[in-house]
Amino acid sequence: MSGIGFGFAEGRKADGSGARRALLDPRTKIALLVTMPTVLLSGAGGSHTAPLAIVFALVAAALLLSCGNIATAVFGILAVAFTQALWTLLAPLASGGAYMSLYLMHGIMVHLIPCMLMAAYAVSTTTVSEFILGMEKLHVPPLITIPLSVMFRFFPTVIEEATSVNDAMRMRDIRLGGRNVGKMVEYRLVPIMMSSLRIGEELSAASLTRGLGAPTKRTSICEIGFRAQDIVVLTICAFALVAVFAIMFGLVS
Amino acid sequence: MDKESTRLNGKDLINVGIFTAIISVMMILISFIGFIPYLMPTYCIFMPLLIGIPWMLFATKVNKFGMVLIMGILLGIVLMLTGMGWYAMPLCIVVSLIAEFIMKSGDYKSAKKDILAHGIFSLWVFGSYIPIFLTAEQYWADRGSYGEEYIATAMSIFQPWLAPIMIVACFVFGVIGAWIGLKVMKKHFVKAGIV
Repeated sequence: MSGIGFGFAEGRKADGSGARRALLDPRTKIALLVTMPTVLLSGAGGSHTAPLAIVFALVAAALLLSCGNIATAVFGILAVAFTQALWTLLAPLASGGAYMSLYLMHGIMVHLIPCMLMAAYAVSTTTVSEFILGMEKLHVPPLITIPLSVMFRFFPTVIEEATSVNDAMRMRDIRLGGRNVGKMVEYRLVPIMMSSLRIGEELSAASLTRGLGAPTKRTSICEIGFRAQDIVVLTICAFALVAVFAIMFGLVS
Repeated sequence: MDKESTRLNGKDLINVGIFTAIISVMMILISFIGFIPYLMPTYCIFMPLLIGIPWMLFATKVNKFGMVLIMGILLGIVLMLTGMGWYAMPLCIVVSLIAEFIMKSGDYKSAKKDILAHGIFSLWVFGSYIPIFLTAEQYWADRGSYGEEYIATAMSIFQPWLAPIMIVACFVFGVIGAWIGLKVMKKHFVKAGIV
């Protein structure tokens, strides 16, 4: 299934050009993708996670820099720094509604942006082949791996289809606050699902020709394996998880 | 039935992936209304209601055991990745398994059973609220820095009596949503020859 990646990175071409070996093992990226929302978004560690948010934002930004996505990295770091500064300077002065909106903005930005940066890095540097190989090494059955990779592959497609349908419907004044609010949902969802299904049929046919679901063991030319940088990142993840669980179960205050 | 036709093949797995992607995008879009704390409990209304439409279309593609269960597991993973916590995962597995058995009892052909199954399946929406209710004391104690006002607002919304109401709302609107989905499907997809 490599090569048709839309959200996923492009796979290696037959002549050896294309993606070179990524900095991190796909399993390390999965660990980061699971750890970061658990630590930052689920609220498990309460207000103690603020320093961890900064650490993870820096890790994600460094990874983005390593793969050449400088614009996203700089934007992310500036956004986190700006919100953090605004919070530190203004929070003691504000009260009531102003405090609440400031609080919400700070909480959402500082915790959400590192996760978004990480997701951008993980998706743009992992090929479908690498992802499937990593999941195989983790002994995840193909019953989960295949739908999961299709799902990630499909997110950008659904969003793209939704945007174009949205434009078409706006032209016909079928929008929130327009004259046909009742039809808004129906007239959007139905075309999106129709086109998604059509794309899905083509994807099925293409993947089946490439031997998806064949009863033999899948082979891959991707090289994956843990290296020094993986160990560093995994250690940070483990530390963060232990810290959060310790706080959650009241071992440390 | 012989073994080949009861085993999930590549096409089935791809269908599960596509529909989970559609449902997840809808879930993420709807969850933006939660930025206004007062509207957070209304997830239980909007999500089951709107997701009923893709659900009924998905139900026409399901004819083997396991597809609904895999969708439940994937939804649990999406909820985990979007920071709703790991509480949602066991709930997703249980409700999708029940939904799976309901649909299987109708041989995956009964529209009524599909609608009922969506009512049960919709209970996954409640997954993201579990920590708020179960560990309410600690949940808000950890958030001392939020300011008195925010906590007072949030606690006044999430009273313990709200939990059963929200669970019932998930089920009721899940059934209504799937019923609307059936109407929409008959109107559009059957006519277009997709189903």
